[in-house]
Amino acid sequence: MVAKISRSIVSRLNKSQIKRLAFIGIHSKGVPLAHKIAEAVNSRLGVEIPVAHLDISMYRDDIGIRKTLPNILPTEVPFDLDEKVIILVDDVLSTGRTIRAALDAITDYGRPDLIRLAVLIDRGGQEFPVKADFFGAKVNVRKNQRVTVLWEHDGMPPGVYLLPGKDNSGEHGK
Amino acid sequence: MTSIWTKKDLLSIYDLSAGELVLLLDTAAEFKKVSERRVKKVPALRGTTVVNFFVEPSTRTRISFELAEQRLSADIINVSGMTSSLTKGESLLDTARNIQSLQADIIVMRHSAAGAQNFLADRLSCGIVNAGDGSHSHPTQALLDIFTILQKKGRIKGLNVAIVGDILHSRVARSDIWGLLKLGANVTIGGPATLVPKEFEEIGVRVCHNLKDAIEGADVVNLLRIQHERQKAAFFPSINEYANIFGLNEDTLKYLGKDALVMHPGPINRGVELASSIADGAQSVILEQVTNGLAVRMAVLYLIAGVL
Repeated sequence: MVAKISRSIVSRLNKSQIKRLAFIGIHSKGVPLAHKIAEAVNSRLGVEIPVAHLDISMYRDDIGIRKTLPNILPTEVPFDLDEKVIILVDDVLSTGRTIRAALDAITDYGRPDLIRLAVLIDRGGQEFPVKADFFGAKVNVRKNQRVTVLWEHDGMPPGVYLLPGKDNSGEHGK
Repeated sequence: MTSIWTKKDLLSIYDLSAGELVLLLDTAAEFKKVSERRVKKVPALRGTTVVNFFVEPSTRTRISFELAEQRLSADIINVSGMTSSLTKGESLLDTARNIQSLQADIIVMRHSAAGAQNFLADRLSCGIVNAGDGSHSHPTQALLDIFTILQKKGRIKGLNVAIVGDILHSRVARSDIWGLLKLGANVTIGGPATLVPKEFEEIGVRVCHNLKDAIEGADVVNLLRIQHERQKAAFFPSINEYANIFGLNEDTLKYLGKDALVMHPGPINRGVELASSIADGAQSVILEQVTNGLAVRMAVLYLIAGVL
């Protein structure tokens, strides 16, 4: 799925856009995915695309509504965002609220020319006008199921799991 | 060892676990980055009202809190003791209840009486942040001191930290001591016996009554101001004598390693506890403490707003 995403990114961006390309992974699960997609693009094109890490906690729309806040993870934006072509990366697209928060955060860092969204799984159920430009798979998932993406370092066989439990909204940071 | 934040109030460092301290410090590190961006503001406290209720005078702490609140997008009201109805005989609790009735979510409060904030925290549903109560506690100052040490030294555990000056009247010293001990630092307090009571040994700090013993081998020295406003009796013969015996100056700086940090919570009495050349010198992190105060206060307000 990572190969599929990186292939579509390369085929749909022009040369000038590739030159200004940068990835921003949303904590926590979007960060390893952003690095994997960047590596795939790098080896395909022989380039070195920068990767930023973004925590969106300060931009959430449910502070004071949730019982507890997830702990803030380190935001690292090691490049200037002005005029960049940004691929925003998260593991699962659900309500779209995380993406709304991420867009607000990104525009506080600079003014990219273009922002596109890449996710591994689009589980449907968007509550905001947000769609994935690049995705590994689209899955229709019921409200009472959650999609969990595990990587090698998570200590279980890597893969995409469909588990019973609450939906994915607001699971960021756990 | 980080924890999840569950407290509606920040009253004292003594109340916090090591895990809660680490969480606050980690969160502050992220808020420090916000102040380094082009847009130095986040929407985290949009719709939250914060009242700065300063019954005792303060400039740097009040300004730091106010700027922290602005950078979190909170709505802010400032009430000072001198201009409030406290001067008309209204009780503290009544004034505070009235503030809460205006839908205030958090009250940041300074008071000259130790425990005033604890008294209100038990009686009000809004969050209370202690911005200094008498000689008792000043948790955000301790957090910014510890945050500054952590950013400069990369750790707290095992560091030798000396706090020199008027320990007896200092809420900063009390707060620093608890925080540093909880995170595993070795703490020494130094100053004249009248201002540095032996009783502090019972909580695990080393007590010294001369400057050389107190600061030799220290990784950090935190100098405290002689608090004229809290001293009714004479605790030492004269300011000059104090400066000669306990002041950090070019002569006494030699007891300190070249890598040691010099800290001061401000306001400095230049030439008394600290010589001007050292306050402005290479080892001084005094102005960084002020910058870090903003980050730490943003972290505190953010975490408290998250549980209200």
